[in-house]
Amino acid sequence: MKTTPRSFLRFALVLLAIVILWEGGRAVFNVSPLVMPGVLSVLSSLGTALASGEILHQLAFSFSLIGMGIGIGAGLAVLALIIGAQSRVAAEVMGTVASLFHPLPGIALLPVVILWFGVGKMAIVVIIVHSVFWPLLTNLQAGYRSVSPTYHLVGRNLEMSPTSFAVRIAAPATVPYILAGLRIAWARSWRALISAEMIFGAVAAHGGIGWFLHTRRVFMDTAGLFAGILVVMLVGSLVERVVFGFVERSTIDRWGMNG
Amino acid sequence: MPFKIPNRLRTGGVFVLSLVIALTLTDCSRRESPNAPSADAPLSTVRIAEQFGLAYAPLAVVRSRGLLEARLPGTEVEWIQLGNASAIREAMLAGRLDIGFMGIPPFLIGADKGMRWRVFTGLSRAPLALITTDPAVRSLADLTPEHRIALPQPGSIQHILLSMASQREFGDPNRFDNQLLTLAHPDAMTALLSGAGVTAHFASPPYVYEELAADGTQSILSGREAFGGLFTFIVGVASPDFGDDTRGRAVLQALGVSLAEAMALIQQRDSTVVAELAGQYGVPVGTLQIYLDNPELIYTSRIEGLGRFLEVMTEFGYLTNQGLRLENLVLSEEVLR
Amino acid sequence: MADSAEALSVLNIVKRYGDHLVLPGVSLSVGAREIVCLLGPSGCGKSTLAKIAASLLEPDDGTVRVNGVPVTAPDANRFMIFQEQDQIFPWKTALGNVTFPLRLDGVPDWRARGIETLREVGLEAAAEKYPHQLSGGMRQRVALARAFAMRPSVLIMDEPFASVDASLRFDLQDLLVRLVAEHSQAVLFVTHEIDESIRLAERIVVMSDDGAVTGEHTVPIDRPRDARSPVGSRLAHALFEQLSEHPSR
Repeated sequence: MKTTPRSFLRFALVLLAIVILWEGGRAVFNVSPLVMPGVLSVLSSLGTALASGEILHQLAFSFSLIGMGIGIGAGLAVLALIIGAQSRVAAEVMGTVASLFHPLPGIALLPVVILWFGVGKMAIVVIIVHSVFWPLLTNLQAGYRSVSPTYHLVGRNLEMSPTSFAVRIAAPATVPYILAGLRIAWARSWRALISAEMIFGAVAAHGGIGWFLHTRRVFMDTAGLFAGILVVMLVGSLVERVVFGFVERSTIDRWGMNG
Repeated sequence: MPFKIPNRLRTGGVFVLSLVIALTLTDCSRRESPNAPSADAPLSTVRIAEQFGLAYAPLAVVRSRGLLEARLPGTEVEWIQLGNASAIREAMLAGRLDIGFMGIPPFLIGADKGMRWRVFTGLSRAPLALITTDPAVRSLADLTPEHRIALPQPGSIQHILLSMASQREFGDPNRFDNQLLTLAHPDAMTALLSGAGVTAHFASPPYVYEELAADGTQSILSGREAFGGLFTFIVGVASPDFGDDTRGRAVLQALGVSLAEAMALIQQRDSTVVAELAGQYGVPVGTLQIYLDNPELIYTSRIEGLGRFLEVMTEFGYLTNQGLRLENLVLSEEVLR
Repeated sequence: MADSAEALSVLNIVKRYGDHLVLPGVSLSVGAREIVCLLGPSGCGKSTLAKIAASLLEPDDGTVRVNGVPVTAPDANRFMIFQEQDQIFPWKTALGNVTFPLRLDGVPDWRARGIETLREVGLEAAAEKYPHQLSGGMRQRVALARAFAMRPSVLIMDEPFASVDASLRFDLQDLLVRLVAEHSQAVLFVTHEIDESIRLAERIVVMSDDGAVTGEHTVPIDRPRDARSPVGSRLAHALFEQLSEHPSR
């Protein structure tokens, strides 16, 4: 999706419509600000949290966890893919395990994760790794299977080693699958992270954006709560549209590999 | 024509979104308008939220014995188990709850933000304790910034008690705020006892007993020491405006009497009641007896410590509304008689 | 005409898929600078033979020799071009595709050679274009350029122009003949099209649908060729007759 002036205008109009409906609804039905705070007080809360650096600080922490989780998860998925490529039995076993674990929400693992990994940063990273690993592995495997037989013949004709083939041909040929997997991985890990931070709290000074939401909730700062939700939405869609948009434009769109 | 469909989808999306918002608004309006609750909930239903823990035992007895239903013929009593005070608060704001039980500080935070809810009874005093598995930690002073302290959530009674102790000992109520870990009691106990990174846990019964019974644990701070006296652990709170009319008053009176009956049954160690509670908390009857025999676990409708909590939480900056007056926070005795 | 030294020869190749005997013991050879077309109906085993000749498939019996030396492993000196247009990589530009084998091989002037070869196939203007921006015919030109840039001594081509529009096919055929004349490769060209074989080949080897070689024809027509010339027509007719026979039935 490209960010054109038109799509920007549309986005602004949608925002405006939401604001009008929100404020209009508040006025017409005389809604308590504890339930629906005014747009201005939400924005001023957001401004305060931005100015104090708190939101950025918590976001940075959240992103460091996601980065670590996606890094480890991706590394493990590649490793599992390589192992699966060596042995059919291993690939089948992994397929079965993946079908069992893939649908399991990371947050459901929290009690076990606490038992095994304690309650530090590690626990949240483990939950993110879980959210990232299975969709990525599933997509990598599908991508690997989809590599054209012709490429294999070309690779052998050019006397390429398995490693060279994997890096120079199989990897770029799989980019659409890798990106699709990363998109799912990002969406799942962003959700898992925020749930984990909200339940878990991590450590107050470094609680991430989920902790930010949680503290607004327990201290009943509804405007702050909505400000936090706004940030979660904006960051989510920013990564989705800007980061993934950029990567896709410079790879699969450019290569005509986007289906 | 790859652009056509997204366009249409987005237009549809705006429409659906507007619809959702509109519906949400109408729903909220019903919840919020002051005279609405009686219209919203049929007269025959009262919705009560409790939490899990030994301190809620009289409620459990009222529920399982049908004591309240017996006193309110024609009224359906809906019992709801919620995980924390925030959930109770939100359910009340949404107009989905009439009565909830919680610690005093979360109640005060709501009142501070303008919720016109009121305490109508005390439920229990209970032994709370900050328990550690680290033999090197013998007192609060031994806790270094690397140590992690688990408690239910910021703004909980455990958090405020810790702040009070820390204010008294170190002149800084926020000294431990950057090493708090928000965990539900069962998770916190697991983490503490399995050595999973929790140095200390501010526990309530039954977890406080279970943790102290485990090897190598010790209490470094009791709730009573922290507070500097006796205080009510759990209070009953009526949702805003509930109790202003005769129907609400009748419900609260009936609940008060039912609770008194339940407390008496527990006090007498009624064998059926004890067996029921043992089943509820998943411990042998003998163990439950020992829990109940703890002299600090007292079921009483008296409300103690509300004023002191109001004072210190204002001092610590958790409450900012200067207009909070004790008499506005409690439903007066006459109302309930 | 055929060189006396045989650049590529396959001897008594036998290949089975399960119980199905695909190649019953096939022999043929290609001399240096010679284009040999292997002509046969679809599914007769000619593609299998091409892959075996490139050592991309192992025969059950028989040997493959390059310049008289037996070979069993594939190498870039016997460069294979496929029918599939995805044989060039969508994530590389035309130039990137052409230089890919050169860089793997460590050819120092890979860039210059890549551009030079693209010019030879008439695609220098499209050097920085990605395959999805090219027509099917242009893509097969890139595949040709990628092969010729490596200067292999043998080219094995498996119906490389079958997926291209008929109007473009003539151009590609002429291009191939010109490139072979300039670079003197031995070419084994698999096709099921009689006209194509007549336009291209010095020699046509006919394979019947049971995988056996049933005939061999030299093509006595001067280049540039016209398959519709009297000689060409007669040859075409003979080839048609031969392909229509079903010796196995």
